[in-house]
This record gives sequence, structure tokens and C-alpha cells, in this order.
Amino acid sequence: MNIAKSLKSLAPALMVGTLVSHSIFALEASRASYSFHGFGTLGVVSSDEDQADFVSSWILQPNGAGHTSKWHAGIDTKLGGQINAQFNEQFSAVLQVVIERQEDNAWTPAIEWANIQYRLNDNFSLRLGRSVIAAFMVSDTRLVGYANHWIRGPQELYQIVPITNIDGLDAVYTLDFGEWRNSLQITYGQTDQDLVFKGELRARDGVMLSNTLEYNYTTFRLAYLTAHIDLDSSNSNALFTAYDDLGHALASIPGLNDAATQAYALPRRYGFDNTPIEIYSAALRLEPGNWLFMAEWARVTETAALSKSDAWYATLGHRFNSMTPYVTIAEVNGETPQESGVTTNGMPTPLAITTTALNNGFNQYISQFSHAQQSITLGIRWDFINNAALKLQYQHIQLDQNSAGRLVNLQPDFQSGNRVNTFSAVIDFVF
Amino acid sequence: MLCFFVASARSDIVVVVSAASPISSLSKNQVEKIFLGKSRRFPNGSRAVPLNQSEGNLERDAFYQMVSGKSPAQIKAHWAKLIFTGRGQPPKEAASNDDVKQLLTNNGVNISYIDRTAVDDSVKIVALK
Repeated sequence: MNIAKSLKSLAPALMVGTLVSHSIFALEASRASYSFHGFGTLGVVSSDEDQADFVSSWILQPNGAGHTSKWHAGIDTKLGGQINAQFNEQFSAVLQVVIERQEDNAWTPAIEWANIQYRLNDNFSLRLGRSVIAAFMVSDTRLVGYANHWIRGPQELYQIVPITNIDGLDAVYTLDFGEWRNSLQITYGQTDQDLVFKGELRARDGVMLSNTLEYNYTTFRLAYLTAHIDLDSSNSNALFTAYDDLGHALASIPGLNDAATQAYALPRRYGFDNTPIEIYSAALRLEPGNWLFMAEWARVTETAALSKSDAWYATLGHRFNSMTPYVTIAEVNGETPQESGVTTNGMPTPLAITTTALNNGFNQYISQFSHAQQSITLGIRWDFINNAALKLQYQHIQLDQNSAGRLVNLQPDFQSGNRVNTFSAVIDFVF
Repeated sequence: MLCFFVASARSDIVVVVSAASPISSLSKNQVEKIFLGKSRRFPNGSRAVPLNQSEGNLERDAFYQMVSGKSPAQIKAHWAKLIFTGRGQPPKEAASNDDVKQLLTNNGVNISYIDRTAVDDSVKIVALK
């Protein structure tokens, strides 16, 4: 965080530099050059599920399309600005600020990238500062709609890592042999992120390893990500405190010692307290001629309340002049744990009723951490002018019997196992 | 007549270096890599600094079609990926064939492309293998 803050103080200086030298043709390699670039998305989404909300991030967007409003413009809409500074052949810096709807519904600007890059030689470069976690193949351009054929990466897979950036150090080692290119990237860092429900997530000792092999129109990538996670939210704190209190109460009643032990154990089993998480993934991209094919698979290990899940998608597109229609199928198969909670045998009736209610609430809470759905998406990208693309996307989602999938803000009448239809329209632009 | 126009828009683009450059031939793939920021070197190991023509110039669209088969929008999306991940900056740009020739002799950049009819003594055509 300190790194990001100190980089932030560089921003005005970089900005002045940009204004001064924006149109100057700085050809001498030794002279510093600055440039400004921007990107953005204007989009609306509608969903026919009126008992839950469709969002683009389950931990960063509190509500969205469906229940909160039939049509919602705050799901994909964003504006980003970036200053690049090239100080010399070795040193460069990047600062990117993005305005999008945050976990508190405010459109607060946030620093997405802020790092200094040192290029030792053609093969090796180091970055210090804030970078986007390249957990999956196109995670690092997740916000730059114009760079991708779809509106947003398939949420079944891409929302396995909903946090976006990491503060730390990364190194990239690239080797070219003939027409082949191999890039090995290692990142070490940490992040603090505000979440919905006044939540806070801390990731420490984050390590990301990825290896990308490119040959002609083929890209193959393997990645591994691990970190220690702390997660606090108003929901989890209230529930875990309630179980601790229940444990105290039960321990004082003769014969209910086992129930007390159960009550104490639940927060420890399901709470995120420096809990290690591991994510494995593999990805393939083929771009022969006007075709585009991408497929990706990922697995997240069971981590506190987060269930073990596998996710995958496959997408196929074809460019016809300025039109690129595409189809995507995707699945995430997290298993919702059936937690029996604290057994009520032998409890006085009032206490049994309270305990049952608490158990039900607890099951609802942990079900938010297991996502299972399948979907098919039909879309088209139209590059209607030079620096902007219009995209239309229809997604049909089949929710698992025991899961709300990637939907949030569930209402009392919500039923898992539903089919949900969403329609999205966006204009992505760069400048 | 139509054929003539199509031909002149498509195929009369030549890759050029300054007349004094040691580079005389490259593969299309090598040229593509240099212009898409995937390679910083000529095959002989010297530093390659490409110069683009301005967006919207016919020469530019024809050049990328020739070396990579990619449309202007695909090229733009490619650079959006590199720029917004801090992994690269697009080549500098020149407004016309004449500007390209002038800038190539300034040593800051050392490879570009122009319409064949604009070739003169100041530049050398790079044979595409």
C-alpha cells in the first residue's frame, strides 16, 4: 500500500509532463517520454430473475440487474485513464486510475495499476508496485472491454478470483527460440480490498506463477496462485459471534458439552483466518486467420467457507469484416456444503428454536461461497468506428439446484435451480 | 479500373529502412513482430525502432493487412492489451510517406513502410521473404 501511495504522489508530476510533451515527437531514445491513454465502457444489463441481482463481481457489487432494477447501467460501465512514462530504455512507469461502481455503490476513482518497470535486457523485466493479478488468461485486460471480443470474461471462471490487483514485485522472463516464445512470470505481493456488506479482505504472501507459451497463432498458459486470506464482514462477524455466545451458553448446561464443542468449532471451520487458498488454471487460445478460439479451466481448493470448485469455458468467434459473432459455454461446479450446524438434541425448547434459526442462517451464509451454474452466451462485436466497438450479448444461465450461481442480493422468494436470461449491450472505447 | 484501385491500395506498400541501413531482407513474420511490439531486435541483433503511419492512412491499413492479415480494429485491440497492462507503447507515427522518409534519416527510428511510388534515394526497400 505504501508503494501505491508513494506512486500516487508522482501523479501530478507525470500529468504535467504529459501535457507539456503530449504532441512532441520524442525520438531520441534517451529522452523521457510520456503518454496518456484512456478506455471506457458504457453498458446496460437486464435480467429476468427478479428475486436476485446479476452483477459482474459477486464481492465488489452489492446489487445489479434483476431485482434492484430490471435494467442496470452500473455493471459494466467504467472509465479508465492511464499515464505512461518512459524514462529511458530501462525504466518506465505506469499509473492507471479507474472509475467504476464500488462495493458501497459510489463511483470512486481507484488506482488499478501503479508500478515502475525495470527492463534489465530483452528477456528480463521487473515491476515494483501495484499490478493486476493475471490469475487467468485475460485477467489483466479484464476492465479494457475494447481489448476483448466479449463484454466480460465468463464469470463462471473469471469470478473465481474476484479481487483485482496486488501490491508487490513481479518478474517476467521471456525466451525466444525460433518462432516460439516462452514467458515465465512470478509475482509476490499482498492486497487489502473493501467488499460488499462492509467486508474487508486481506490477502498476504500472495504468490502467482504463470508460464505462457506462444507459437504462431497458438497460446498455451499454465498458472498457479496461492495466498493467505483473511475475510471479515458484518454478516460473518455477527454469525461467528453468535456461535461463540451459544457455545458459552451450552457449556454451562449439563449434558450439552458436545453441542458447545460444535458451536465453537463452526467459526474455526468456516471463518477465513489467514486461510491458505490455492488456484490452478490452464488456458489455450487459437487465432488462425479470422477465427478465435479460447478455452480455460481452473480449480480452487476448499478454503474456509469457499467450496472446492472447478470451472471452465470455451468460446468461439469469427470475424467478418467489422462484425465478430461469438458463442461461449461455461460452467462452475462448486458444491454447496450441507452443514448440520449445532445439534439441538436435549436442548430446552426456546434454545433449540434459537439454535435452529442460527443454523439456517449459517447455511444461507456459507451457500454464498459456493457457486454452481452453467451458461451459454451468444454475442456479437461490431467495430463500428475506429476506436469503439458495440457489443450485444445474450446469456442463458442454468443455476444449480443448491446454488444461486454468480447471482447476489438474494430475496426471500429466490429459488435456486432457476433459469435466468440476461441481455447486455455495451460500447467499449479507447482514446 | 476497379482492379487497378484495389491493387494500388493493397499491394504497393513496401517496407523501408534508411539508405545506409545494413538491413536488406526480413520475413513478414519478423516485420509483424517488430511493429506489434513482440520483438525489439532485427535478426542481426541490432535494435529495431519501427515508425508507423498515422491512423486512417491507407498505407497503414494496407501494411498491416500485408504483414499480419489483421484489420485496423484488431491492431488497435492488440495495442490496447499492451498499453493498459503497461507492457508496451505503440510505434511513433508519421503523417505521410514524405514524413516517413525524413524521419528514417534522423536515426531515432529505423524501419517503416511507404507507398512504392514514394521510394527515392533516401530509403532502401526491404525484401520480404
